[in-house]
Amino acid sequence: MENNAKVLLERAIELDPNLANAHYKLGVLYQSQEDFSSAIEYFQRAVTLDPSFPAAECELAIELGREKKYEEAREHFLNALEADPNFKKAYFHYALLLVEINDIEEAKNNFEKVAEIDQNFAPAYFHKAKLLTNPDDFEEAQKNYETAIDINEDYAEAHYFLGKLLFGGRATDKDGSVVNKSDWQASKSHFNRVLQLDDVNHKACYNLARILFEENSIKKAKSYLAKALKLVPEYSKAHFLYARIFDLDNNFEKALLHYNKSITQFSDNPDALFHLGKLHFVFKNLDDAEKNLRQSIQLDPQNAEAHYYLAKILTNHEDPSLAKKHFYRALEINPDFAHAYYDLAFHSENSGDINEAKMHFQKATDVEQNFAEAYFNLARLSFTPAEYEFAERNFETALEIKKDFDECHYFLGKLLAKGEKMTKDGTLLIEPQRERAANHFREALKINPDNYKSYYELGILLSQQEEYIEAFDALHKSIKINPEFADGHYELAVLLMNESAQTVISKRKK
Amino acid sequence: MGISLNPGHYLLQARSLEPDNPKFAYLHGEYLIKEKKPTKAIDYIESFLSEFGPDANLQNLLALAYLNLENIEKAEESIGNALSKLPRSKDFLHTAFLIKKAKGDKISAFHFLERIVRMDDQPFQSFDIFWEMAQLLNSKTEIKKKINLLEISLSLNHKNTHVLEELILTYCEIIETGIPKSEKAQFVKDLYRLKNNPMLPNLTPLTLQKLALIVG
Repeated sequence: MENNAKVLLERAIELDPNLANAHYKLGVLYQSQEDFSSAIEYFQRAVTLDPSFPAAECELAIELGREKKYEEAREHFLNALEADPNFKKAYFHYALLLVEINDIEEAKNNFEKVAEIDQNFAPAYFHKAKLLTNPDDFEEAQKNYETAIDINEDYAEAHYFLGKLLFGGRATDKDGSVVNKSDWQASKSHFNRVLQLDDVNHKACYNLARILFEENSIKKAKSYLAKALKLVPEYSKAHFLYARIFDLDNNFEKALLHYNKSITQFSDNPDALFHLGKLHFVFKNLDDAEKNLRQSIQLDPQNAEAHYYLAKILTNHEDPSLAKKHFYRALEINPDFAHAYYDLAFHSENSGDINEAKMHFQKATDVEQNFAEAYFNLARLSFTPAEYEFAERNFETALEIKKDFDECHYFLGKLLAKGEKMTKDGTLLIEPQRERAANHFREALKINPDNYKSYYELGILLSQQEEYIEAFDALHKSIKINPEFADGHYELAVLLMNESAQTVISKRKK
Repeated sequence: MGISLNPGHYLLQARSLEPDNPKFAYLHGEYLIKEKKPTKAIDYIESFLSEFGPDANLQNLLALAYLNLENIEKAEESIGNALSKLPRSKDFLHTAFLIKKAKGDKISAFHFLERIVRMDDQPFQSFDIFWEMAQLLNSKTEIKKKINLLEISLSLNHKNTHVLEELILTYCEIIETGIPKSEKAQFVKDLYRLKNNPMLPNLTPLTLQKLALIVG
């Protein structure tokens, strides 16, 4: 049939080479046969023969656009629209061309023009909605997708993109603040509709899995991801989400496998590289972790957590400035990153800079006011007599937040037992609070009966109070719990070398 | 197996866990000296020092062990090593004093005690130093100085009967020697003051008798 048409059209041109319409029709025929260069040739002849031939101008523009000859295409679209100002197809394809060349505002105007000409032309609403990506335009985008779907209930692409819009939900309120208008239920129903219309739509499967993952319906999420990956085994995003699920489920072997697959399919994948690096970090594969984290940072320099984990790895390096650089970078990106301050403090302490360490522990407590461990470590490093009260206050704050913090009881006990404090005029006072100290050691032991160091300190304290039997028992428990604890053995020897202690303890034994 | 009450047992454990810990080695050396085995203590400390390197506290203990054996030359050598590392250690200066005292070099012994007193910012801990300083002064020419030192020592620890007794006897001694009347009156007055010390009943009868002869 097409061949007949072609033969007849060629015959017509032979008979009258100036028959513009025959050239046009032959161009359309070649277009349908995907012989685009021949199509261009005939459309060009048609517009040369008839300069006000909007259909030919439009088709020529479409084909030139396909060839990425955007300026020429634009010129022919404008010719078509000049010849026919209500030419819907020309406006529509011109708008698509404008999208291609990133002239978004003009593209939106042209899609609107299409909708003006034909209010039931669903693609115009759909494509306009796709351009409305700013949070300010959330409602307008939603309205346009919905209109496209109202016109064509089976418009799978519109369902899909509306699903995505409602999943993200980034919008602004009246005063311009960003608000979340996500509606996961509606989003899910649109993705489900996509799958009804096109059951091999892997992207809909993936997006459904994303929502289900966020909703903690892990089993269902996994099943959609499995389907997406069955449809497209090289689907990087699906591998990544699958890996995240396995990672959170502590199935690290599978997590590792899918992070790697995600990266293999899409190497410029900062999120997958970050999580893979983090996983290697957890498993102490530090070389791999460092490599992945560095790649992730190269692709996304603004990931504070990636800098943080890289810094943690670099704390093992002999040059302390390498880790510091990344801790500081993490804090520059996220000034409220309490754990970055906390680990930076340990790094400073290990590098011998106690004052800097204290400053960072302090900052961690400023950022996260219930960070018991940070208060504790701040107190632990405040060991000079001048800092006695400061240390005591911070130990107590840590214990208010975390009552079962045995190590904190232990350290507070040590501070109180030592009792070295300095008055404002610089006089050194030694005022041990032995009863309070003993209570804290006992509290530490109540929480953790294996805290041998608390038994040890309690033993020394009791020995100073000449409660030799209790001192002996406490010290003996310290070495019973940890037979390798040399100081415990030593203090027992010291105690038993004291004649009074030896007499009392021997008497009890008898 | 029962629980051991032998300090040596625990010390052995501590040392086997951390053979290079000088604190443990010190206690072991001290334990041997206390057990009246100074030769063993010397052998142990010297072998520890040769294996793990010098340690000032252990060198001080070594000096005390040599002193125990009356090997003054080696004791001086060891305390010299310790003081070269920590010249302001009161313990080391005290060991040096003991060595000089044992050697009969009272001037040097007194000098070491003076160094301790000079650096002591908490005098109440030093009553024994003043006591020991006083003990070094036996000649008649030093008797006033001795009284001063004993007075300081007693003021720092007024319940110490040894110091009280020695002070009373020294006052008696100076009063009994031919000194000017004006000075004598002052010493009698001082001695009279001591009569009110609550520790007086704990003194020997001979001392109390001497006191009664002078102040009634």
